[in-house]
Amino acid sequence: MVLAAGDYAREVCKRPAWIRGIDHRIEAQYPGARDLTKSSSTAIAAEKAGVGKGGVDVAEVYAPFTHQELIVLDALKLPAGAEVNPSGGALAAHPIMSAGLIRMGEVASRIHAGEARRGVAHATSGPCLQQNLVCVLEGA
Amino acid sequence: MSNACAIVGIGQTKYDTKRIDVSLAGLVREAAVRALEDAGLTFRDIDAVVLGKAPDTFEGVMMPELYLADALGALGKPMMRVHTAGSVGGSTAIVVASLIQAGIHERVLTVAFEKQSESNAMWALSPRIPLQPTVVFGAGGYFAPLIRAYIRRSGAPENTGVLVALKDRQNANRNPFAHLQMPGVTYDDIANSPMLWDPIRYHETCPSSDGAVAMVMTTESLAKKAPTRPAWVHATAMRSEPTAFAGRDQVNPQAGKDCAKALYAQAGITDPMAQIDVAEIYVPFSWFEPMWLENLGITPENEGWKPVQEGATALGGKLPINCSGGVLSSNPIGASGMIRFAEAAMQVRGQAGEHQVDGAKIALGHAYGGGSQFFSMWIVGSEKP
Repeated sequence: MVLAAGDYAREVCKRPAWIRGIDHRIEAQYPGARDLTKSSSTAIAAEKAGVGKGGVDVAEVYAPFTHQELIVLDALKLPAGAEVNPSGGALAAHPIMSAGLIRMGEVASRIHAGEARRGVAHATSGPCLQQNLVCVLEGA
Repeated sequence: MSNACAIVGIGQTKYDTKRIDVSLAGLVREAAVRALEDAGLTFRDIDAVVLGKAPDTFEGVMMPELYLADALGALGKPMMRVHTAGSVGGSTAIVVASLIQAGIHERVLTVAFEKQSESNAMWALSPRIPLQPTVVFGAGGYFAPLIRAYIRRSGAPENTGVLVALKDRQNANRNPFAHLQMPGVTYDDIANSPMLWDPIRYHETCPSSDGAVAMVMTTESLAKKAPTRPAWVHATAMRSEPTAFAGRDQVNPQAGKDCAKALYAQAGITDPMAQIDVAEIYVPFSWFEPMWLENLGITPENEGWKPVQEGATALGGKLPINCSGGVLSSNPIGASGMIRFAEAAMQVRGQAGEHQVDGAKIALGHAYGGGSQFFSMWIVGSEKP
């Protein structure tokens, strides 16, 4: 991915995908110290990144196991109507260290193509969703 | 354009061959708590934690930030890990400076560490990379031919490395945190020590150390409320180049030259020898002091050995270098770069105790890593830029 600021982004890209909010939070490592049915770090990151400040057309979440998608979506509090993982998500392709960036790229590509106006990308690391990142991307 | 950034807390562990009294978590926490105490803060006051360390193979703990989140008070907060080989301590500090300068966070705790006794660095530095020869001779074996090339190119007197080592070992005796303490060390002790990788002798080499260093960095308004004098970030720069390409000059790498140039431009430095009061530069083998003096543009090419021979880089000299004893005296690899950056900040805060340069106002911190391919540098000052 290539990131650029302000006017330069407008000059080189017809429809840039703007990062409106991005936040990254970590939890305790020991799974016994957490409620594994919830993702508190995703919830904090979603709030700080401003997921709820507008409609969401598309969300790409990094869930290498199906139950994790349910837990993450719960924490993101996506408004109704958001399309989730149109790419097939991490269940379809999972190069671990790229899988989070792929989520951002997938959302940005849909904004570039004019198929989505506002989208959410999510990435995770560590055992049982220990660390989570949420990014809100918008078209012009 | 960007906001001011200040260093308001610094903490170091005692560096040693084996810190068997602490786990990895205990080691990083020791440095972190000391930095917070220095800043008059607690973990509760911190917005984010940034961790730096060299390859995971040095301890065999993959992605150690996951394990260390609890010990560093990061739960529910942003935590990030940085890795640029030996330069990582420097680049981690620069990442933190950019988080403050960009207005993303107000108080960030940063920690860099290595616990080399947990593993074997020689093995850890010998991965099989496709189409490249495996490095099975350690860092000394890698850098020795470059030093030999430097001596031939510059005509430096053969004892230049001994003089650097003697100075750094004497400086380390003034620094209670330094790993190697050699009270009463003499020129002959260094010159007569066994040859390891020609021309590098035993006492011209860094040790393998366990240790951690931490800093608290903050905004202008919060720095003004700090209990002790802050150090201000005047300039930061990073540059990289590949390990191997045709015509690469490994003795005086282009990335290092470009990095120093960008750094001085930002800090308004036109004559580094005159304008910098004290420097902490990454010298794992004594000969790298004259080599980096040239790479940093502090002396002309092939003349880096002259200030060494004249004693200009000793405490009390024109540009004292590595007053802490440097990497030559303490080398927890992932922390070594940040120790340079922190020692530079300690000097302009007047906090360096027995190895303080009187009245130091402008200091350079420098780190390099990989096969002399990653460079990170900062200039800090006693006054806000």
